[in-house]
Amino acid sequence: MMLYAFPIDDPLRPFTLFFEWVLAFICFELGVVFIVKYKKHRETKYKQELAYASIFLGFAILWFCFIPADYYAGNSVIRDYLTNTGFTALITGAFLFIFFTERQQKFFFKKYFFTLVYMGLWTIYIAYIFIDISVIDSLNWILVGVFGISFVLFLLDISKRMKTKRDVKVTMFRFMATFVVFACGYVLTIDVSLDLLGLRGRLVGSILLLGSFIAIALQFLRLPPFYMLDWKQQVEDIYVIDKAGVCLFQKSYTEKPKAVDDNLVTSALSSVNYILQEMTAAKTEGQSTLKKGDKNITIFTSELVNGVVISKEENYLISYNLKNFIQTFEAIYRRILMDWNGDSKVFQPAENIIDKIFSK
Amino acid sequence: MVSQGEALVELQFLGYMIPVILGIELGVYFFYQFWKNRDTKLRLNRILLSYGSFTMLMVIGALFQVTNRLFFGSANDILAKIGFFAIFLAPIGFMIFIIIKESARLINLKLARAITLASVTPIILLFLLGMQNLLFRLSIIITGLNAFFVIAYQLKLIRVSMGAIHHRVIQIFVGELLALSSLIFAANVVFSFIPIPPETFFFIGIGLLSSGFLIMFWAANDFPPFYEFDWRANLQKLFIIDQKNSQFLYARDFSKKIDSATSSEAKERDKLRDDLFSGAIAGIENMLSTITDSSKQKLSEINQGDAFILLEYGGKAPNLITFALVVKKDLSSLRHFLQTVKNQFESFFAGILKNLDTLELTGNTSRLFETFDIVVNSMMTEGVR
Repeated sequence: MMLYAFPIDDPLRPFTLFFEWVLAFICFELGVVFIVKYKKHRETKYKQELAYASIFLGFAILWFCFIPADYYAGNSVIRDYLTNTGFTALITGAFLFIFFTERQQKFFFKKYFFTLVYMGLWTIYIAYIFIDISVIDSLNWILVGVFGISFVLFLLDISKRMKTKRDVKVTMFRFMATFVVFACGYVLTIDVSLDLLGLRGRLVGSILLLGSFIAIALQFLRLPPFYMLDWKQQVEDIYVIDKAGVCLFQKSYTEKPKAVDDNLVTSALSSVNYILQEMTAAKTEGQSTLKKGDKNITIFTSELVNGVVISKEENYLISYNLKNFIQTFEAIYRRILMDWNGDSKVFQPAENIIDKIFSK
Repeated sequence: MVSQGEALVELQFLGYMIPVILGIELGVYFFYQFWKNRDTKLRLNRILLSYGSFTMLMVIGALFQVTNRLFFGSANDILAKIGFFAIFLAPIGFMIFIIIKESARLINLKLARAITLASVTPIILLFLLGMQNLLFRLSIIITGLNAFFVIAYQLKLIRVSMGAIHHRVIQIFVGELLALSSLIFAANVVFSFIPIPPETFFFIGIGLLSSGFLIMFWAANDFPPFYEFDWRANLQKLFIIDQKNSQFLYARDFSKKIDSATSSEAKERDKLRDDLFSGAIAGIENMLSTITDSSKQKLSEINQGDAFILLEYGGKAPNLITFALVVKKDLSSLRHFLQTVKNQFESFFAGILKNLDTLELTGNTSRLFETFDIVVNSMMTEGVR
């Protein structure tokens, strides 16, 4: 049973109203920011930004409903109606988040597992709004639990594909810290806390929520987009070429038969690289990229060999990994490369390194 | 239970918070854009600090005024003074960052410096003599003059800039005008010269202010570094190549001055190098088409260490004409320059390009296009739109 009387009429009312309004508006803005970001990368098939946008917009609608419900609604029927509308928006936002993230990647058991589970619960939730509204509070918590599990799995999946272990640890730590703050803020704003702590608790909760939302948005913005993380899917061919243009090692990740011999390809690529260096008076070592329609050629020129990746798109992770691979290759085969007798079989073990880095 | 009147005041305040949040975010975003581009060490990027501080000060000043009107019936002298202080400081905040020698092309620096300095007078008088004093009211003219400089500077900037920045500066200016037009509605809320409920005017004003800020946000999104006056320094070479015959039609080395006194031997050497470049571009294009199995798609950009080769392809001549621009930095304005070169070349030599194959049989075609120097020179001196 509710002890606190609505609409809120308390000396702290202007302050809580102000912070909750700012909170709702900033959540709305963050949703729009992610939609704009999504539109920028619309040509890629990834919907990661739409997932983030749905969750922020869900929260924005929740708070835009809470404000009239708690501060202006004349009776409990209107308040309940507004509150339930807000919760439905949030739950729908969470559902869209799960759907858009699972669309790209399987997180658990099978693809769309969480989407199906959540959709089932969401349908029950909607049905109970009309059948017995008193049950939906418990359902809310189950939905929060399912969303929480899927979100943690999503974070684990995205972390696994990051460049270094440190990146993973830092990302996870930051997210967890932010979620602790978020959870505290949320608990302080629910009706039970209002009964126990009064409006002061809700004010603190709103401020914590505002801070955590901004922090979460910053974390999301820092997360690399899926199309970047899926760089392995974009790699088609890898070549290691000596300074004379001879192919030392080649690996293809496409099934298309080759029209041209590998040695001809590597000679041509070496010539291109050499011509470009001459034309632009560039340094003899470093990175070059050539864009040609939907093909991208990344060349890393090192001291003894050149590495080339032909890919579908330009991606800094390809350049980063090519550089790493060529430097490792050079370190392992330095002595052989200095005095190479023309037998390319000696470089076959490099396939293990290449598979470790580039294999899909 | 709050009364209807109190609720209306609350709603007005909450409504006004929308442009306030947008304005503060916009200001912070401009500062962030400046910080992001700090490595370029381009002094003209300070315009971002000007935009940021102007927006922030204006919006914060107006917030104090609105708070004073809504909650204190405009009777709180301190809030009013703080509000006016921020508003009068806004044009100073704009000018202070851009009175630098790089702006000499746009404004009279000495005059701008003097007026900016004099703009402090109304602020001092505001606190010394108060808002009702005649001297203070007269001194507002100086702030008006400074505001005129702010507008004049931006108009000049629109005329001088080109490419992406040109469009962004126009958008920011339009956003500013829209945001400032809300002042008319704000004035009606206070003076009621049109007999319509002030709340209606207030909310229309909020709509205009927010729309203005949104346009500015759109323009500020990924604002490119301010290379506009330095774009010429990033140009290295321009080649216009007939791909079919692997021969250059026009070449220009921007690092050298066109000099009729250059020895014929040197000219011959340059021509040979240009021929090699033309062949190389055509060769690279062909080799990559074979390697990547993508003959229908064209090479669009080559990044080689510290240099870039931007490529555009003609569409009007029967022969495939390639326009290659070697630059130090990949700037959108340089891509725009190359597109303009392409358009100018194709329209200037439309007749010749149609019969290029026939003409090539008769001898050195590159001499036919030497007059294009005049067009390129004019683009270099006057800029391109």
